[in-house]
Amino acid sequence: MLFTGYQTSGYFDEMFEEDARPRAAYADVARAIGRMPRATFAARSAEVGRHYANHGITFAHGGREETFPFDLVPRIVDRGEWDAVAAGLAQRVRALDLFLDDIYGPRRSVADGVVPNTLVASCGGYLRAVAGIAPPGGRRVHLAGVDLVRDDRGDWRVLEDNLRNPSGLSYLIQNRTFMRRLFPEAFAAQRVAAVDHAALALRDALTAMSPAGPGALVAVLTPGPWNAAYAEHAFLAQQMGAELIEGRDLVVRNRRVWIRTTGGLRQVHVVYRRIDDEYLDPASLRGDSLLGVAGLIQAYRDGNVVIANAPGNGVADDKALYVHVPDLIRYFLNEEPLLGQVPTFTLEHPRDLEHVLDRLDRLVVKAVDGAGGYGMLIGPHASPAERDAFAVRLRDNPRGYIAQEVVRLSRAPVFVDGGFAARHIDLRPFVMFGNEPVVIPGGLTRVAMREGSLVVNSSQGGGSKDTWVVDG
Amino acid sequence: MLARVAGALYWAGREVERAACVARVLEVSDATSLEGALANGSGRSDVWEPTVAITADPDRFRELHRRAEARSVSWYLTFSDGNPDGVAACLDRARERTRSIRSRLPTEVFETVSAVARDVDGWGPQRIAREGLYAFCHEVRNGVARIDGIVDRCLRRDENWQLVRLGRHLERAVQTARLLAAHTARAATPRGDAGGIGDWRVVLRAASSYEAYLRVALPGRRHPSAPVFLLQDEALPASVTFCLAEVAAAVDELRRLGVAPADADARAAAFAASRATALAAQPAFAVHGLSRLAEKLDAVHDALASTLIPTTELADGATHAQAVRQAQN
Repeated sequence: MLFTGYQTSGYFDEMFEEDARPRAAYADVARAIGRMPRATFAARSAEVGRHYANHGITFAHGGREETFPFDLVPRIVDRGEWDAVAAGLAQRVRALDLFLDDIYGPRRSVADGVVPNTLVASCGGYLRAVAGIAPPGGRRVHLAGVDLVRDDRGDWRVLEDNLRNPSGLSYLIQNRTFMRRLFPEAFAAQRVAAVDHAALALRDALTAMSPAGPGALVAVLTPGPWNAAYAEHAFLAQQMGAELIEGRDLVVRNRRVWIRTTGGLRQVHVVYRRIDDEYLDPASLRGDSLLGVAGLIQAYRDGNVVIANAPGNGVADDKALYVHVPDLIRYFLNEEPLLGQVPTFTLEHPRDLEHVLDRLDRLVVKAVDGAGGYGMLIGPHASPAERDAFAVRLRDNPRGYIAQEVVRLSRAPVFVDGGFAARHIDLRPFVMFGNEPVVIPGGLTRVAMREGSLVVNSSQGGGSKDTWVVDG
Repeated sequence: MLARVAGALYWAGREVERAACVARVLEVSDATSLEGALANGSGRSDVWEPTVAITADPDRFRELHRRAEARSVSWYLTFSDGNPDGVAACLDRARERTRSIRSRLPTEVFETVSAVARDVDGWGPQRIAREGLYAFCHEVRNGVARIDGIVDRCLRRDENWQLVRLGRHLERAVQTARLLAAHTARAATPRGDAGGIGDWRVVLRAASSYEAYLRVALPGRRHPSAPVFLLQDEALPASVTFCLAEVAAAVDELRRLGVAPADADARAAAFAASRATALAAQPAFAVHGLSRLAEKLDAVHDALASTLIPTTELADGATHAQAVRQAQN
């Protein structure tokens, strides 16, 4: 038996009950795996890496092009449970979009005391150059990646919001493609919700906000092949029928954005950018940028181009703002939040700072503008010297960090070294927001491949699983 | 179509073709050097030096190696970092170019180019030593045939395909012209019939045209000489005339599709191609004529380069550094 010796060890296991019986949603998959010889499963798992490398589905990691480890056992979520999660995600993204519009406009949420002015004023993601600009279509969050975790009771909680350049959508689509090819038996008689429409859903969300409508020319602005997520940029452009462009392909004339083609200039209506805010426009933002195009912000100000996600969104996924999101949902939507959060401490008040410093060995500390698993301390796993070093940083810059209770992340079986072992996972679902929020079923399940590790980011060697939403 | 994309397609077409041509020449040279008198020491001057002469930049080889012999030439034409026209370097660049425009291509095209480049890269000199140069060259030729097959099978006959066609055939014409120049130079020497590149059978094999020639050159019938066959045969895929007809057709199609280079450039390209064709059609030719042919082929490229294929290089180091820094959350 492939699962012989597999231990749940007191964690919430996605696949198995505490008595080692598969959960109901996993029964068919467990049977399919149970019928398969170990060598066959191992051979198919090895095949995954080769497929990903040949397809160029890679992530630049420390300057090297590496494949994103993929595990063949899917993560399964029951439809009823998923619908509740999806409603919570849509609610959250709707509120954050309204918050952004407010912050770059009238700032009622600040005036009414929902969000402290000091927080906004000190936020590194706030972009003064776009204050007062009403984006075309009024949308600021076109694509959101909201990271969810399950605690050891199996309850879903939001870990963080990603509203600038959330990555992973392409892996979600391609993981499903490879699952169908390499493990068709697992699908058996189940009704697994499709995800192939995700790229087109993104395209619809983008064009819905353009005055040019469905015929809008969409371009994916990539930093180029050296960027970590270039494979994703190329895939999404291809699947959306969009142009994959670099800054040097663009020019701004008459306050409109054009691409240089062999047949002359052609107007671009939507720029789905995968470069940072400050690099978008050397004329308005960072002067030495080689990745953007001069005049882009002016064209945006005049409503001639949609930029997705909107410049300046970093103010809403600042980790210090996370604490206030439940209040923002109540304020802007007059609804109670449908999804819970992880208990979080901001550190600006000296009392809070001291409280956190006293408990560093039991908390996770994150930089408010950090990403990719960098700039964080997992207290229980850190050495005393590492905790001391972080304590100095927190005292020097309390606004720059938050602290969270350690969540005992749920685990799932992952095929490693010829057998199954439990690894911690999270979930990044994607929400496209055009006229209405559209949540893609499931999302990208990210796996901390190292035993005991809580860091799931691909930039830190994390892997992924296909995520199935199945009708019960 | 983005001008950068047009350039990437054209160059990918050239580089894939170049890898196959280099592998074919290397394979034939290796086989030739094993037999007869050439195996007893004269292989160096009759086989390996002419093989170096076929490359785009023989001087670069001489800067890196003292002598042209089996080991140095094989290394130079396969994996040497010092040779941008080596087999592995060409396929790596073709992979990077198709990677940079993969959103414009059917998935299978990049997948195949990527798989072939990775497979070839996985050989290395030790495996060549273990399994032989033939096995390596065979894999390269098969890999390029796979790429050509996928491109021809999957691409619509739109501007993408026309640009690959343009690059592929211009490169093939250049390679055939170089082969002929090397052949003609050796054939004029006293050892010209000794089985090296000066041997008509060898030059035909190096252009994958030997069997095709045998079907034309039947005993008792008037038939062209091998060099004339490689220059003028209108139905032979490796012949200069055939390739230039493809180049001209691709330029015409690009103009029809509205992806044309500026009219003046297209006219210049067409003119250069017709001059090259006319030169190739001359009944008598010599080394001098072949060098003029090479100039005309360069002129075709130059005429297209100003508008159609402006970008040959990837972005510079500063852009690279900024691209790496962009957060992808």
